[in-house]
Amino acid sequence: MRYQATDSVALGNQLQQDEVEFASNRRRALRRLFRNRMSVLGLVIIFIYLFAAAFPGLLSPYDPIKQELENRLQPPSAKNLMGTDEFGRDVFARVLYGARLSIMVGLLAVASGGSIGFVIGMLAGYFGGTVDSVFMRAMDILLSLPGLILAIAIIAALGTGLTNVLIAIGIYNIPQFARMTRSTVLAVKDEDYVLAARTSGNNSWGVLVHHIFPNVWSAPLILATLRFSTAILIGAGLSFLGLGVNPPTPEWGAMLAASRGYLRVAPHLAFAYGLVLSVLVLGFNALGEGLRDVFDPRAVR
Amino acid sequence: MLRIIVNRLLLAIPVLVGVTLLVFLILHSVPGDPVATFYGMDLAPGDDLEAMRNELGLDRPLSAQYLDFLWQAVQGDLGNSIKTRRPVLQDLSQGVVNTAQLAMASIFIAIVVGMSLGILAAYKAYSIWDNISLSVSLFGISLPVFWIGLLLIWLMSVKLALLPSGGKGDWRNLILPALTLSLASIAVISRVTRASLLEILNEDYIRTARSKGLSGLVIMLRHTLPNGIFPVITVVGLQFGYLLAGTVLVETVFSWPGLGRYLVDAIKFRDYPVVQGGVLIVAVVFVVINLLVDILYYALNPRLRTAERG
Repeated sequence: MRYQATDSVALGNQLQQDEVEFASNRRRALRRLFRNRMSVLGLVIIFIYLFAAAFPGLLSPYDPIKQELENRLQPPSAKNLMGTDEFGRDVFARVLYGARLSIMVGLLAVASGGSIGFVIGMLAGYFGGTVDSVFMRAMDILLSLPGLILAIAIIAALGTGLTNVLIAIGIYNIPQFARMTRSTVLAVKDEDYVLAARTSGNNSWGVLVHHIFPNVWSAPLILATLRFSTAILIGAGLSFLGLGVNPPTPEWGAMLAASRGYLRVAPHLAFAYGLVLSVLVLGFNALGEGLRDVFDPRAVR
Repeated sequence: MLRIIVNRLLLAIPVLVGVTLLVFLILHSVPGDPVATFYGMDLAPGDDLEAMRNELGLDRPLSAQYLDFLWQAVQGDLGNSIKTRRPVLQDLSQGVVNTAQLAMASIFIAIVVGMSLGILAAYKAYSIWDNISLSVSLFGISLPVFWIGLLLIWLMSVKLALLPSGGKGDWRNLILPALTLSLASIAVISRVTRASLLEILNEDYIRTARSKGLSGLVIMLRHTLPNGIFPVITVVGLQFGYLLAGTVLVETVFSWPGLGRYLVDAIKFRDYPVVQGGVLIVAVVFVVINLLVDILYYALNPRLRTAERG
């Protein structure tokens, strides 16, 4: 249905109805989300980790950095739930503080890179033409390096350390979000309600913010949950290679790398660090899969 | 057909130029004097830096330096390693061969296991087999390769003493790293295979085949698989590219002397010419693989061929 620009009352009503429909769709989606087994599993895992990351001191009395050399490489016991590492530090405490670090890396890297990519995708998709070509060719170039290699190249230039890891993973995330946002914008920008908004006198920015944005934010959000796990994995991978967060900071990847030398005498180190990392990644992947099932009608099983 | 291929080739050129520029710019933005970073010279207070810059061409505009770098790279000259003083390409060539070997073995495992799992999941869709296949792939994409590698070393080398824990020797040294590297690709390939086959199974001609009384297996192998294979080919190609990135981690876990390990070591030694050369090789291979995948997709899909002719 095409709008008659003269009948502004009907137009306003239609726009309002679009918003109402949108809100009720969202409620329905949320209900479906909580009925989806995958996403509930993911949410439970994520909440446990968030709790651990927020209150590590509540869960373990130990200092994650302080060395106790006479107590080194102890297997798990009542005193040290996950044993101790090569410097006698409590593994469980290091796991908890590591959760805080990994979640922060994932959150900040995806949020920063994702928002930049989202804005680029909105602009490229909505304005098209030169803006589109310039932005998207730049994204092609960023995507022509595998993620980890791009991150390594950036680290090679900037040096190691937490901030640079964040920058590297953030940049890696930009093109993924830009591409996805652009394609969703392209799908909605010729819809009737966008035309209506434009003919009723809104300028480009108003249309983008008030009419395009509410209809395109959900897809990048789903992408964000999936990207979150990739970001955490790349962060841990960089530290595993010795190119990420520097010791003695408790970082899962770095600790896994150190545990490699003790596989024979203290395999509990490698088990513990790898398991906590994997379960968190699994949680985000499960949530992402669940979200996709809920929001993508084609994927309904 | 030919037009599409030429078209894709032309599209790949700006990307290649762009990625070389990206690598060049990233590594030329390293803080510090480029004479020191790229030529590894210990600068003494009395050195005539201006003369050295002039001699090495570093006082010229960045664009001219980039063109020089591009021109030399095309001729196979990636500069000299700071650490070994040998040409970068010579140092990296053995690593490239070793990495290629590892990646080939992995993609072979990934295709065989991933497609089998995917076919099984589609053939027995929504059954216990489907769920097993889904779980395997969810674990495959969630477990970090470097952890799987450590677990396999612990099980196969430390506990069972069946396979060597690392290094390069005979074929037995290849098994664990190749298996580790293939896991994530198995996951992706099996998921895409399943989804693609399920879509084909909804087609009319499958219903026709079924009403002719053909068995499920025949339908799957003769009618569904050939038509559902195209997305899988694309994904296999893309996975091969991502394997190249995964090799960096796997090579470190298993002390496999490949390109990735050279690269990581070079970063730690601040051997920038080697870093630049290594990243460049990976980027070019990645772009070329993606290009080949695209072309192969067109070449193999009869529907697209007809569309082009008509």
